[in-house]
Amino acid sequence: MKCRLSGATTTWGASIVTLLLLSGSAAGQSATAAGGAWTGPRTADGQPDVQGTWDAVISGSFSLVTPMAGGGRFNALATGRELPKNPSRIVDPADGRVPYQPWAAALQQAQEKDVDYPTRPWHIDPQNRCLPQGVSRGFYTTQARILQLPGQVVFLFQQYQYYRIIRLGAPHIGPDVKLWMGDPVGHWEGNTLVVDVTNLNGKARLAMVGDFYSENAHVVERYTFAGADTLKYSATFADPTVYTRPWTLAVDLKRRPNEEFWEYGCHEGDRGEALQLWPAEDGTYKKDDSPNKKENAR
Amino acid sequence: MTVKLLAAVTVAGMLGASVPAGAHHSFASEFDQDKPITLRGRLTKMEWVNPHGWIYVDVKGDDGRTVTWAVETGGGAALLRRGLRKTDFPMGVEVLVEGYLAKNGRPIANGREVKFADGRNFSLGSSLAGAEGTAKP
Repeated sequence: MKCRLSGATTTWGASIVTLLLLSGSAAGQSATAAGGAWTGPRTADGQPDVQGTWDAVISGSFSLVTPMAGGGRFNALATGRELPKNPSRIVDPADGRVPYQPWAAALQQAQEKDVDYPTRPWHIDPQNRCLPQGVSRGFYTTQARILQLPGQVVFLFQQYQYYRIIRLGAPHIGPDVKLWMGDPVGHWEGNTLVVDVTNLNGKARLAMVGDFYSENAHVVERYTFAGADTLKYSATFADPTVYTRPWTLAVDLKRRPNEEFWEYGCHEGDRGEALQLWPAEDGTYKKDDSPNKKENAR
Repeated sequence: MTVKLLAAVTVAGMLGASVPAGAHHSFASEFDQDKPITLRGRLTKMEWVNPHGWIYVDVKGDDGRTVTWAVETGGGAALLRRGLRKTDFPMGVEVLVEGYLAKNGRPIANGREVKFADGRNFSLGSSLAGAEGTAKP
C-alpha cells in the first residue's frame, strides 16, 4: 500500500492535535445521553459487566457512506427495488465522507470500481478470503460477543471466527509488530470502554467499496454502554499518510441475548476467487473488460 | 423433467425474524442480476458449509443431455438461523430452483429460492441472507 505524504499534512498537523478532542466529542455525546456513569452489575475485578452478544442495528459493510450489505444490494439490483438509504456511518466530518488525501481517494475509487468487476487477485476484498476484518468492520458486519476476564475484555466475532483481546491498563507492544487486528489496549471511563489501537498491518478494508487505512493508522475506539441493551460504538481514525484529518465512524448496536455462536469454517465453502476471477482452464485470467481497465494493467 | 408444484408454503417469511449473517462478498462480482434463471431437476448433493452452502441439481436439457448445476445458498449458519436443516434437502427429489446466473458462463447460479414437489418452499438465503442494510428491531 502506498504511503505518500501530501500538502495536506499542514492540515494534518493541526488536526492530529485535536484527535483526542474529536474522539472525546463523539463519545461525549453518547456518554451524556447515558449519564456517563455505570450503575449496572460489575465483574469480579470491578469492570462494568457488559458480557453478552451485540449486533449492529443497521448491518452491512458494502459501503460506509451508504450502509448496506452486498447481498441486500444485489437483491435490490436484481428486483429493481430502491437501494437502502441509510445515513453515513461517518459522523465526522459532517459531509459523511472519509477525508482521503488525493492519492488515497484515487486508490479507494479504483477499488470501488473493481468491486463488481474484479480481474486480478488484489481486487478481491480480503474479507472474501475469510481473513480477519481488521479494526471496526466486525461491528457492522456480524455479531460480537463480549467476554470479560480479569484485566481483559475479549471480543469474539461470529462471522470469520476471529477475536480481539483488549488489555486494560497495559502498554502497547513494540512498533515493529504489525497485526490484522492491531494491538488494542483500553481503560474504562464510567460506562465507556476507551480502546487505543496501534500496530495495525493496514491490509484490511473498512468496506467492500475499498475504504482503507494503512499500517500507520492510530485508532481510538469508544464503546459507550448507554443502557442494558444499547451500545454506541465509535472509532476515530488518524493516519497522516492516508487522510487529511482524523475522522470518526459510529455504529449503534443492540444486545442479542438469545444469540448462539456457531462454528463458521469460512474457507470451506468459499469459491470467491474462482467465481470472481474465473481463470481460464490454462490458469490465465479472463480478458479485462472492467471499467477500471487501465488501473488493472499494473 | 418437470416438477408438479403443490400449493407452496413460504416458510422463509415466518423465519425472517432470525438475526441474519452479513454478506461475505459483492454478489454482483460473481453473478449477473440481469440474468435470472429457473432450474428444474433432481437434487444430487448438498454441501452444508460456510460462508456459502451449495446444492447440486441435475438438469436435463432439451437435447436430452444432463448438466449438473451448482447453486450457491446461504452458509450453514445462515440456513440454520432460518430454521432449515440439512435434512430439509433430501437427495434425489425433484426441485425447482430460482436464482441468477454466474458471470463466468459455467453451470453455476446464485440461489434465491427452492421449491419442492411436496409444496415446501425455502428461501436459499444466498444474496437474501437476511435484511442486510435495513434496520432491525
